[in-house]
Amino acid sequence: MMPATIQPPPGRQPAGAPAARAREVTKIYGHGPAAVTALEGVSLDIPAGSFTAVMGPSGSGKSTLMHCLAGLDTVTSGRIWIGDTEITGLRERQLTRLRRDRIGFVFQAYNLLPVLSAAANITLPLDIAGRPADPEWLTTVIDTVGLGGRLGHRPAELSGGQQQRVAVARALASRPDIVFADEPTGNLDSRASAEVLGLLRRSVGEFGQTVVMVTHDPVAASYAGRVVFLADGRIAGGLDRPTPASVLDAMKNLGE
Amino acid sequence: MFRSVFIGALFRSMLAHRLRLVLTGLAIALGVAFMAGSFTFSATLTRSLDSLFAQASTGTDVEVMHASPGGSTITGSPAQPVPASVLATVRRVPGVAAADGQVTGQAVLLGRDGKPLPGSFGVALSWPADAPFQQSFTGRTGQPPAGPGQVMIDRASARRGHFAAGQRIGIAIAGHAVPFTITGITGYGSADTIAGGSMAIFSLPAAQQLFGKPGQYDQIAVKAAPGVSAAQLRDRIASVLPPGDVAVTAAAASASAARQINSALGVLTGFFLGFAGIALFVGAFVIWNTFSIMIGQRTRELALTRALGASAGQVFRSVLAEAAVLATAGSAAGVGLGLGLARGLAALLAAFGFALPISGLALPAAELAIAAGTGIAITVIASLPAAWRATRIAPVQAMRDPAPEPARFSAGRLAGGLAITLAGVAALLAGILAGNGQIVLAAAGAACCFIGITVLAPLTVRPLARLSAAPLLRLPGRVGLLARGNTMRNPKRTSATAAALMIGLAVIAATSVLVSSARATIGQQVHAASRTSFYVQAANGTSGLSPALARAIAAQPGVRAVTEVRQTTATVAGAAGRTIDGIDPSAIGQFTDLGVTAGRLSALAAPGTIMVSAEVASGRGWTTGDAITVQFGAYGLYRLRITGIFANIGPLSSYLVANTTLAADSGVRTDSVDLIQAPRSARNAIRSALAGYPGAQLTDQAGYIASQTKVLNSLLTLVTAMLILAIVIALLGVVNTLALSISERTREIGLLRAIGMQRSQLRQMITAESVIISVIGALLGIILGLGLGAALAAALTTSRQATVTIPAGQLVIYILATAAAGVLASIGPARRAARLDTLTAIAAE
Repeated sequence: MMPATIQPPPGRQPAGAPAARAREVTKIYGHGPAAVTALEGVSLDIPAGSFTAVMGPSGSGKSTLMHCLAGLDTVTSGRIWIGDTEITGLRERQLTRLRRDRIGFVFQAYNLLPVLSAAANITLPLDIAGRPADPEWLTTVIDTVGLGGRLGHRPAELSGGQQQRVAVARALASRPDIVFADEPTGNLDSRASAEVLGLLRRSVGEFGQTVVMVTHDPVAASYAGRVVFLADGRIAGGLDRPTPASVLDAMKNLGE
Repeated sequence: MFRSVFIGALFRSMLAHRLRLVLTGLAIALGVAFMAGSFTFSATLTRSLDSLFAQASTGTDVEVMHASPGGSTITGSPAQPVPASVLATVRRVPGVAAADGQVTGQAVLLGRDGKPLPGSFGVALSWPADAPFQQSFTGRTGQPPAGPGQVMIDRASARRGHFAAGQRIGIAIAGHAVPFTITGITGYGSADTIAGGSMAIFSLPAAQQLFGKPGQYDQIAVKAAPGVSAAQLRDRIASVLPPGDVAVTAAAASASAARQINSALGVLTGFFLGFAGIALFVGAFVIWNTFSIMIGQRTRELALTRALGASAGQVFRSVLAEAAVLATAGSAAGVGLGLGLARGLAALLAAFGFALPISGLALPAAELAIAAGTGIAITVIASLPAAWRATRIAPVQAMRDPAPEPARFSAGRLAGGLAITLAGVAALLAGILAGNGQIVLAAAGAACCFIGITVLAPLTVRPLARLSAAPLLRLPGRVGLLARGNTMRNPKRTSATAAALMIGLAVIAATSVLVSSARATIGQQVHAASRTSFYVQAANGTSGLSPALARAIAAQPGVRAVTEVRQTTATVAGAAGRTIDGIDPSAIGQFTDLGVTAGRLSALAAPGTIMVSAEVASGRGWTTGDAITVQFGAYGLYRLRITGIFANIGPLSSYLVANTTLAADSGVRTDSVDLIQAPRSARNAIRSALAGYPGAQLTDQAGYIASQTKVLNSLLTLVTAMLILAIVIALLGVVNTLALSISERTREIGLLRAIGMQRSQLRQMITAESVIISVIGALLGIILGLGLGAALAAALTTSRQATVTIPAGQLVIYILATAAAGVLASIGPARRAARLDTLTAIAAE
């Protein structure tokens, strides 16, 4: 299916180097007695070309961790790198540019712009940047997500699964260093979920894309190559080559 | 219990949206302010003028004058003077304590640069010999004028021109500059001068000589002896007067003058109230749209209250209560603003050259209550559709996602919109063409037009948005495309917002079409008929030009012929404000081709005759031989016989009389324009004859046409200035719509920021939306205004070839200005959108 000539996007870190790193990251919301510690001394490496799932019970800090890694939120202390760029301490403007050029997002609630067609939604980050799309890469991405016939449709004319596939295509279109997916299957039925998760896994396997996915669904997590567990704002363990059963086991242990 | 919770929630929700509250309240407050300001302004003026006239007649009990005076009492002279012998007769009447002959005229004070001092008019008076009649001249310094070459001037002019007693001043009389020595400076009653004009006071013999009335008076002021009432004295004097002269009490004379001026002011007040009405109408649009959007956004909340047991009536009342609170606050603020605006209006008028006396604000309680009541009523009425829609929200909608309003466009809407628009156009045209008294019909027609177009407008949003967004698509980062999509996603909302802007622009566009068509018509008329090479005109038209100037010009080398044209306004067969030109019937044919279609021009030389244009004659159904009533100034009523009908107005007006008739019936003895036939080379010679006439302007044909159309340009400027408030109110509506749509789109904005849209790009997007909405409003307004203006221009020129000129350049400027206003309107909402926190925005419901 995939042409052999497609190369990993330029500017990638050499194989093995982490696509993102967190060192002793602490995030505290509020001040004084009302302060809530969401993350406490989290250190994590996301290897390039890996598919990592972040799991944990509600309030474990998994979403906060993702937001901090993606430059959507600031940390209270600690340092974060995307590739070799330290993002902690970057100004708002630089962070925005970094998100635009080097990060892709897939959110739970699709988050497509209703006024744009599926095709325009896919190229939106490139358009915002004023960068021309690489037509060959775009074709590959669109073929992969399987939307060929529906590109001219508005989001309201697409099913939930189709909308989320458009969101994945949008995340991949700019060849980001890393794609963050926040509960990407939270609103989907099991069949559409399987499609979207398969898509994310193929992007890792076939294109060498790095993907970090936050989820609370063991089945979703089992698509990843590695699961990182979070509890009470700390890393509580990890699991390579997860299966739904092994993830469930690990979750049970977390609760104890 | 439930009710109090409900009302409490209402107020909390209102407080939570303070800014929107303030903007919406302001939309009403501004219209109310305009209305209250107009009422206050007019009440203040009326009071000021009443006191002015009372002051003018201080010390005088009875006035004696010719029975047919012309011109207004303040500025004009009676048509015929009273011979000096009458003064002696009056003095012999028992009960007369003092009697004084007086001469009035027009005199323009010149600054040190030789140019007229600013002011709306210049009045000349004679210094009364008896102390009772000197009481109006208050706070005098220096000496009264005693001989030729001496003058006393008013304090306001002295201050403006930096003049002091003992200094020299130039005064233009009949356009001719004459040097005088200032002997004294005076106030007038409680003010520094008379009703915003200037005063030049000469000794009686000097005034008689200057105004060509030796041994004559314009009026005689009489003071009654103690124990004799004004009415008694009037009757005694009347019994001894020669035929043609009358005696009136000073109170009656000033009341009549005040009535005359107040009726002119009534027109002015009506003019302001018309614009206040437009502002309120626009405000109603903004309220309607804002409430509609708010109810749409509150669907879930309202459905929840219904699910919890609130009745439809309670929901209805809660929306109306919100509107009523807003309306009351807005209207109260509006009345307060209006008092300030009343002073502003006076300043605005002064800037346009109509300085009027203002002494302290009058507070017309009843009218102010009407203004506030109108504001409240309009707001509540405008919120009714939203309140009604709120009652139709089903409880189950609390559990559903807010369904976007279907933006379908039904054929019924199309038919209804067209029907309302056409009915409106018909009513508007009927109202305007019916003449006076049909203003209500015209206004209702205009309102119908706007409502009809508003009903149709959603149909036009998509194409108009495409058109107005076209230049914005070049913005980097798809900002323009996103903005266009956002304005097109809810065509009803966009069109309702744009419709508010449309109203002001439609009136401006219609006026500019009318003005440019009238300008073209005048130009065509002059070009078609005139054989005149040069025109010498009286500047400002205040005091006219001395016939001596015409003689001086005629004596210049190269000048072949000169003729004098005089002018006055009169009420002709009931139609007020008609311009009548005085001409020399034996000479005028050389200067312009009148194209006489009936009767003979030479017959006009006979007294009591008039000629009318074919347009007027056919409009009124007049033929030669008919007698029509012409009222010059306040009282002079004459029957004039139509001796001829002419086809070409050329540089003249639709009514022509001989200069001799004009002088006898209206007292106008100075020229408004001298027509000259001379080769181009004679220009400098003619110019040299104008030396010493600061009020005279030499122009060629093009310059003459420009000067004739100048007043039209001022009218357009005034209308535009009056409509700026309506446009500001409409822009408040744009701000509201943007703010509300941003709060609806919080999550989208969060997404855009997450995937890398910079704050500046986001601001650009909101600004582009604002510009698109504004330009749609401008385009709708200009299309409607073009239609109305062209229809009116065509209708007003029915009897001749319709002349409709479209001022394309001007219309483009209006569109650009509206786009710029759209940028301003977006500043607040764009900044707020850019400040949204990305994370909370994404998580927003």
